[in-house]
Amino acid sequence: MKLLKNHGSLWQYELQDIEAVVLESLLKQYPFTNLTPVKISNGKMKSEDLDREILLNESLAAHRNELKQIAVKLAKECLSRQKDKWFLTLKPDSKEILLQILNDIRVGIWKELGESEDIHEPPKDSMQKLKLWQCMQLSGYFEEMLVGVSG
Amino acid sequence: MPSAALAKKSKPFVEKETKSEREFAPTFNVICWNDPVNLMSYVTHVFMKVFGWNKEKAQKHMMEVDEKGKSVLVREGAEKAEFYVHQLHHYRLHATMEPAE
Repeated sequence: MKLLKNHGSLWQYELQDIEAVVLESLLKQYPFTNLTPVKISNGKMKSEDLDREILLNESLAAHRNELKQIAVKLAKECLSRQKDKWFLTLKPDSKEILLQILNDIRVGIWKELGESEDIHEPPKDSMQKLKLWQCMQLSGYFEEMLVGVSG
Repeated sequence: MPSAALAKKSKPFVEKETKSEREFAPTFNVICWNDPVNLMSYVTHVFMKVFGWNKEKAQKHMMEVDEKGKSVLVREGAEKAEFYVHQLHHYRLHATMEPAE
C-alpha cells in the first residue's frame, strides 16, 4: 500500500491485489464480533454515572450500526480498479470512518480473544480464533498505513 | 408614576453576590487508559482529531498513556467530559471520566 497523493482533503493509495482483496473482505465482514459493554468510570458509581454509562453504551451500539452500513459503501466507492491497478481514494470523513471501522475490528477481536497482553502471539487452540487473530493483525496493518509515516 | 410612599418603601433590588454555576458544577478528568491493542500512531491521531491538538501535544499524552498506564487528557464539566468520552470510545480507545478533586 503506497500513498500516491495527499492534498489534505484527499488521500489516494495504490494497493497490491492482495491488499485490495483483504481490505474489501474486512469491510464486507465487519463487525466480526458482538459489542461488549464498556464502563464510563473506574471509580465508585453514582446513579447519574449509571445513566451516563447506559447512554454511552447506547451511543456505541448506534454508532456501530452506522459504521456497518458505511463499511459496505466504502468498499464499493473508495476501492477502485483502473488499468490493472487497485486504488483507495479517501476524503477526510471517509478516512476517519475507515479508521474507526478498522480499529473496531481490531479491538473487538482482541476482546473476543480474551484481551491478551501479547497480541503478537497467535492463538493455537482453534482455527476460528486463528482466523480472527489474523483479521486483527490485518486491520492493524491498514491502520498503520493510514496514520503512520505515509498517512 | 409611582407614589411618593411607594417610592420611599421600595429599595433598589441588589442581587446577592453568588458564585457562578460553573464554579459550583463538578468537574471531571477525562482519562485514557493503556491497552496493548491500540497502535501508538493511531492513538496520537485520535487525540489530534478529538481535541484538535498539534502532533507534539498528542504524542506527549500518548507516551504518558504508554509509559504510566493512563493520561489525564482534559478537565471539563460533566457534559463536555461525557462528550469527549463518547468520541474516544467511537474510536475504541479506553476512556473514562472521573470526578476531579
